[in-house]
Amino acid sequence: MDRIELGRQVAADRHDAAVQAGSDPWNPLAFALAEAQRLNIATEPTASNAASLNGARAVFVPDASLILYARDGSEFDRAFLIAHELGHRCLGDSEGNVAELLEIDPARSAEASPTGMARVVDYSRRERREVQMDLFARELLLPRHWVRRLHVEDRMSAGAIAQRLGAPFEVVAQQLLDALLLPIVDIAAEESVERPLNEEQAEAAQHAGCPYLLEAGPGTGKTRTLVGRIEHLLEQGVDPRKILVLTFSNKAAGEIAERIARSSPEAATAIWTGTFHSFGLDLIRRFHDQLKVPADPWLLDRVEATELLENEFPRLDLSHYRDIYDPTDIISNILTAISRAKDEVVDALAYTVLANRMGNVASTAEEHEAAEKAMEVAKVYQAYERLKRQAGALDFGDLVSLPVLMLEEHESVRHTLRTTYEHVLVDEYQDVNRSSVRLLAALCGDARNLWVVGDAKQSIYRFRGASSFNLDRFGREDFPGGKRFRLRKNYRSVPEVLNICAAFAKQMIVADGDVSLEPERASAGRASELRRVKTGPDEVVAIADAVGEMRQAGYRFGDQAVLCTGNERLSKLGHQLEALGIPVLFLGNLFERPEVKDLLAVLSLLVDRRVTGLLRTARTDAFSMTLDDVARVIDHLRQVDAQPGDWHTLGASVPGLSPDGAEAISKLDQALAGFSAESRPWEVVATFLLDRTRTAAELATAPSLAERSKGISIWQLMNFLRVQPAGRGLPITRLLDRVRRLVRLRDDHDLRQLPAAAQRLDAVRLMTMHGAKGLEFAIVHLPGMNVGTLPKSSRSPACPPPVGMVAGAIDDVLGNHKKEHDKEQECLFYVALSRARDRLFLYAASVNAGGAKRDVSPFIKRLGNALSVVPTKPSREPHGDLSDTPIDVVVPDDFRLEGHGIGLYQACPRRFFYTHLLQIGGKRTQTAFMQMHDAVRTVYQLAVKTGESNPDWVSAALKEAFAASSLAEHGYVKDYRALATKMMGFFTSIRMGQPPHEPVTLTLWVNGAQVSVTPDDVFVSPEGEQIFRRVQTRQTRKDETKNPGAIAFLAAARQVSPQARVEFIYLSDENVVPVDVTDKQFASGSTKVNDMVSQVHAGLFPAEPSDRSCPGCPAFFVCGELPPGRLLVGR
Amino acid sequence: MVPSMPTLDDVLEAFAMEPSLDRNTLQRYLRDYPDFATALIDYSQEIFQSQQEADRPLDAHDRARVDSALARFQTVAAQAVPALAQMNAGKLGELARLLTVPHQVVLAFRECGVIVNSVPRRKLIVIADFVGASLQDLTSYLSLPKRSLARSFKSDDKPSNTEKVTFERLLRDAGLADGEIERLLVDEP
Repeated sequence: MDRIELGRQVAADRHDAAVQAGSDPWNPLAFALAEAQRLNIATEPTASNAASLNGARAVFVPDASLILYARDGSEFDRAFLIAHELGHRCLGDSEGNVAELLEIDPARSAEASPTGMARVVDYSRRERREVQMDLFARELLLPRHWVRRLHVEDRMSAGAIAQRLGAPFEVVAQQLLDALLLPIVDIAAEESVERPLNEEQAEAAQHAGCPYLLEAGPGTGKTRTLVGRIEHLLEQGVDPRKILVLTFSNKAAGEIAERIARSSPEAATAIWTGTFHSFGLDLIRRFHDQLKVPADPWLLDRVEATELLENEFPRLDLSHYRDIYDPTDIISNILTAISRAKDEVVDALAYTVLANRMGNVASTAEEHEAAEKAMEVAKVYQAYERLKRQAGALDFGDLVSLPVLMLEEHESVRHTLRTTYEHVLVDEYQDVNRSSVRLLAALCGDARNLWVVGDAKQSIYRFRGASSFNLDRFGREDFPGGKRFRLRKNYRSVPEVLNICAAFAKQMIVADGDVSLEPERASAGRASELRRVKTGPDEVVAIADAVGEMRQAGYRFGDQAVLCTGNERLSKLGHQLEALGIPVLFLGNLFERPEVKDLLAVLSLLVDRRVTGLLRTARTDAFSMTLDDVARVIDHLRQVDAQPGDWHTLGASVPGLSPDGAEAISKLDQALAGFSAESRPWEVVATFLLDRTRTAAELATAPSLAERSKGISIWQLMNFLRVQPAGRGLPITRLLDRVRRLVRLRDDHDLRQLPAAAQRLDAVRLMTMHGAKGLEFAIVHLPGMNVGTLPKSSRSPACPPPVGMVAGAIDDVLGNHKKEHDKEQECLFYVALSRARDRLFLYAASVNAGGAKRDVSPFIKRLGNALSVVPTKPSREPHGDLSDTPIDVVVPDDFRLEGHGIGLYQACPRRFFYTHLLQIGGKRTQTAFMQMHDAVRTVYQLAVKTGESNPDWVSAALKEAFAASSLAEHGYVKDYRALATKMMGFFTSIRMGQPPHEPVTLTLWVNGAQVSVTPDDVFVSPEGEQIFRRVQTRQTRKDETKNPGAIAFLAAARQVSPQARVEFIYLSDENVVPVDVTDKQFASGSTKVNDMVSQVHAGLFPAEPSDRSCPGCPAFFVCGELPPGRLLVGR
Repeated sequence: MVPSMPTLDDVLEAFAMEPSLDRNTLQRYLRDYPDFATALIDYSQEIFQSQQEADRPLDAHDRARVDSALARFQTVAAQAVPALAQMNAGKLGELARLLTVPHQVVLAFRECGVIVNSVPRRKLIVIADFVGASLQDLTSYLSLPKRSLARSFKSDDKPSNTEKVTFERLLRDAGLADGEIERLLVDEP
């Protein structure tokens, strides 16, 4: 990143000098040609297929001082090609004239968006060089400071600049986004001298003769030694092409390559440096014939893999892992199990064998059930592999496990690779899993030249199969004869911090011998502290206080980090710290951020026929509307059954709309003019930000760090929008669906990372302990050091692996899981402690919200005297929670509360507000499963009304209902019909030929409000009891019949007949559950309904966000603060 | 120093390195190195047979041999006409002006990217004169396999384009007008 930024600064300086010298930046071709002339470089156009271009678009021949460029394309294209090649010249490139590896791309983003394939295949070092040149070129022709001035001061839109320059909109827009949204930091060229190796590091670097494991604790110069090892090998005359360096992150690989490049740039290019996964992908591409996969396979992410399986699910006939309502979670859990199997190189067949073996030896009922479950996973695994093959796709797990199987099977391939790579080096060896170890074993033969470095105490990737088990085996079962060596000198931390680390380390499960480190730094004279506050909310204030103290002591905000145990707490903590005036650098879940939701809501206006996105746009200055106006528009569009885009014409003529509201609608109409449901999301949002509104300009000039963070997250969103997987359907709809799925499957993780350009802002870094791995900070704050928070208790895996799958595990699968979990929790804490250079602050509360005593974490107790406990009284009162502020609603006295709304209110009051008071429900894109459930609902309602139960009638009715949706054309329509028929069969069987019944709504008065309940079926049993039924097509939910909604139903039924019975019917799992409650439960349920009515009148609708349910909520993209004004319900 | 001609080994190695070992390539070599005709024919048959046997990837030893042979070959060849092979930017511009052609055309000569038979003899004489070589040395040099602009380090690079092109094509690619091209193709002073 810094190299790219440096290159851009050189380019910007040259631009300014050129303008000084009289060049006209508005004529890019003349500008570039003049610049070449100034540099004494001849430039010549040539045919785009000229032999001299060698397939590239342009080439720089340094020893001829000549740039050749393709002469087709616009003037700007040519200017860009010349500028790109000038970059090679200006940034001192000897590699200028090798075949270009990447297409020259004027609109290139400085960073690849971390989704899909880009997650695995980062740019190679040489490719990064080309990326750098593209950005150099863009900066030379239109430097950020210039476009920024044009946009901010001269108020030129991106479109206007592009037109005057003759450049594509995309190029100018990308440059403006960089200029306005990302901080531009002046980077001084860094001192690029490596510290010489110390004695123990040198000994490690020069090792020869047998496999070697270097145990390198935090701050001991692990990467330095690894780079030193490579330098040593090069000095020994080893051909750099024969060196393979494997890492676990693209970032680490990039850093190693850059560091080698400082001393030997050519070798850095020749050495294969990359992650296990990208190396695996490289092998798969090279040997794709042997593996029978396409040369360029498509890499599935979790969302795509889920979609692939979901389609197949009705055919799999599962019983333990059955969910025919919404199988997303089950599929995702099974995919996790499959991915774990691949970590262990257990393919679908091997998995089936293991599961069968479990079945054969099972004796108890539990063992049988466990075996059956494993069999079901095996079945899905087989189907999944088949589907992937058909689609020519691979998943992440395949990238290592396929090459392992191939290498183990084919001697010739093994031989080829063993002669190709004579020296193999592995970074972060504690993170290897079985499949990576087997890859190494196959690659290295006798492993004489295998050199690995790691630290068992920092093993925090259990979820992908890493286990200290692999470290234990090094030199014994794995790579026998291997030697171990330990670095002891710590350069990072003061003795006070190291004492804490040592105190904890010696009691860790993975500790092995003396794990202490020798400090190289002098004592700072200040012990690490545990600041004990009263309550959890006090902790935040205590952190803010400590951050302030450290500022007084001369540290910047940017020198400090707050590390949390999990993601859940982060965003709340971030907001609270900001409210206390502490600048915080933290993105969190990208799609939860208000400014990102604002833009997705704008996009949704192009596809959503109810334009609920207005709820967000109405809160912006440019399109300000009152809540009442928004409600009127939504209401009107519903009444006229509007179609997507109709609001452009209907919007301003909504009855009762205020003049301001009408004006906002027409402004919004203009802001989206020319776009439709078919438009590309990136283009819509870029145009909206840069051409139709001043959003980006305003963010760029806002002074506060919170506004800067907004800019950064919008930049991240734009980077995400640029590359979307191709697929069927309209691009915007597909995008919005994909976002919902990403969040639901928690696959948006990498989008939480800050773009590199943001890393230098002076703000406190807020991240998880996981995320802090490999980083260091002067000051580290660790909140939440209470029992229950740390260590977290172990949760059993949703789909446990079959016995015998996990190498080195005991047969007690769950016991093994727990053991690994406990180890990992310790490692996490150790990682967190060892991030600190100068000081550590830990925080714990002493009572919980209810006032009961809260103990400190057992981990803290292990630290003994190394930690001084300081009872702390925070300087201020903690802030309250914003989302609890009441909404200004007026609910009329005759407002009818729908019975099913009660359950919704209990789950999320805010969702109740959106669906019942604003009525923004409406259908989203439906999966085949949802369509099937709709069809079943239609048919059972018809069966109740007509009293029909004849199978032929059911079959005909289902056929008709299927035909009404696109389900009839689905490839597996027969399977869906079979499922639906089965559900209806159950329904008619329990209805037992009762006479037809027209549903009648029952009314219940609660707390002065009407609650209406409409039973799905009512009849009198043979015993003479009146039975009221609620029919659900999905499966049983635990305790649903005890919740306030069910109680209200029961109360309404008892009003009709005191002896009435209420039953909940679940068609998916064929279950009948009577609402059978004690008097106490009945009373408590009634109270809740009562309270709810008061809360609705009082406008209390706090949101209860959850990754699981929010993505399915109709208000997912609009949920948040509401437009100003009062809402009159049921006007 | 009298520049030495490529030896039989050099020529055979270069031949083996050709991207395509079809009849045309063989004929070109036979034409350019009539002295080695018998050896070239035998060798081409041997290569053809060994290719049938296995398309084994080159091992480290092979690759090292090929690399060093190519380097040796090119060095030897370059020594024949050092002033052209190592021509710097200034000289390149001078020669371009002398020939009234764009720099890229001279660059193609330097990199042996032109089909020598397609160049008007007059032009060859001007070049030979400029670089202080005999016409025969220049012709032999230009008949060498095309040099790629830079030998890159990594083995998995895209294969370079090794096709030679005609003088006329070079002029057309450089975007000269028809009349200009016609004038340059006339083989009279």
